[in-house]
Amino acid sequence: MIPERHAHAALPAPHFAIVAPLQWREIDGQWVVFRSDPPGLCEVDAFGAAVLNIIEEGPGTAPQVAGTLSRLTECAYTDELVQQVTEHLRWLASVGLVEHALP
Amino acid sequence: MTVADLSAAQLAAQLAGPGLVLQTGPFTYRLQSPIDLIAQGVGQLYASYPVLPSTAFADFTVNVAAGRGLRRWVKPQARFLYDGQPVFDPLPGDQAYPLLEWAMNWCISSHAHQYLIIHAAVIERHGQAMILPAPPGSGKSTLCAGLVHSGWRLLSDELALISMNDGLIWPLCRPVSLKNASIDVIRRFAPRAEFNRVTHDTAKGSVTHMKVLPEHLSQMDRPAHARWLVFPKYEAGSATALTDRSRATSLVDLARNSFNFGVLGAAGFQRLGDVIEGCACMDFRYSDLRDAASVFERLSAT
Repeated sequence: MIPERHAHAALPAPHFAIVAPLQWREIDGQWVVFRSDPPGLCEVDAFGAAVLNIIEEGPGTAPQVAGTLSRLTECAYTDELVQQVTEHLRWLASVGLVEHALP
Repeated sequence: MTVADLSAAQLAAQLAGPGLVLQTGPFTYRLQSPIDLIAQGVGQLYASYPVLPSTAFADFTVNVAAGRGLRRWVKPQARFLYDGQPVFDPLPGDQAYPLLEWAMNWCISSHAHQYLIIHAAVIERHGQAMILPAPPGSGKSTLCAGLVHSGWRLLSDELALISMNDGLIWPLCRPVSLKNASIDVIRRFAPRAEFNRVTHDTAKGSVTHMKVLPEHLSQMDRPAHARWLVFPKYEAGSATALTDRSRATSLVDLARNSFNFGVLGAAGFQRLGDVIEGCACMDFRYSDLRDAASVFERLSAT
């Protein structure tokens, strides 16, 4: 059994990958994403679109995505940013746009 | 030649025999049925529709057969057969005519994938189409029926046919289905409207079909570009209100109302996106049909 205080250290951050190839449509500054297989459609906010776009380039963990986001947008890499990315990845997984993947 | 050129006996014999090949919008149907209610309904609602020779190619063959065995006499049934195979559960014989209309819709929504098919009414004014998607109970068909008697041309009350080639919306020009309280609402609103007999106790309650106006029927080969996408909602006692809605959200909602978005895949997404980008998207709440007609009259002038 893993002692509670070491649990986070023992579990690597999960990798995420897109479920299937995506198509994008920007309408009035909002993003609609089409997943090709199985076909599905979802409206994504700007932050979610940025996260999804990074994952679309290649699988990654929340800290990795936050790092890329920080580098590309020149925003500070903070715990809050990682948390925000984590929440969006969970939501993107819940709507079937991303899934857990092997590293 | 039109259906009205056939006598009642000739029409019944053709339906019971080789079938009546009928043109509605871009489709031809071969209708076959020995049931009197079908002959009466077709004779009344499709009187002005073109009839093709019985040997002509038909996109769909719709056979509404009578019940078998004792069901021919005791609690008679009507059965929809497509290519000889039953598609739906049999219905009471009294519901044969609504079954025919539902079967004709099913043929299109299940097979006509050269169109992106949305569960929506479509009307047109000044060459510009308005799509009215909505779930059952939203007052879509009532609004559609009222507006086609207020200067808008009927393209369809049930299936928006968006061409995958060019995005134009093609008229289907079939009778408008009305149910329950909507029937009397439209009778009062449009005394000129003509209906077939009301069928009671269907899965949707009491239903009837409203005949297409001749001036709309004569334009059933004239498609239109979508200009407005309006999501209607009937709310008893509410004030009439037309409000803007997000086009991105509308794209997702319209896809949910499509019969074949999943079949068409990425091409459907592209086509739907193009349609949305050419439309103003709105929510519409109403309780009074005359107020609604006034609002849409003003909208059509913009």
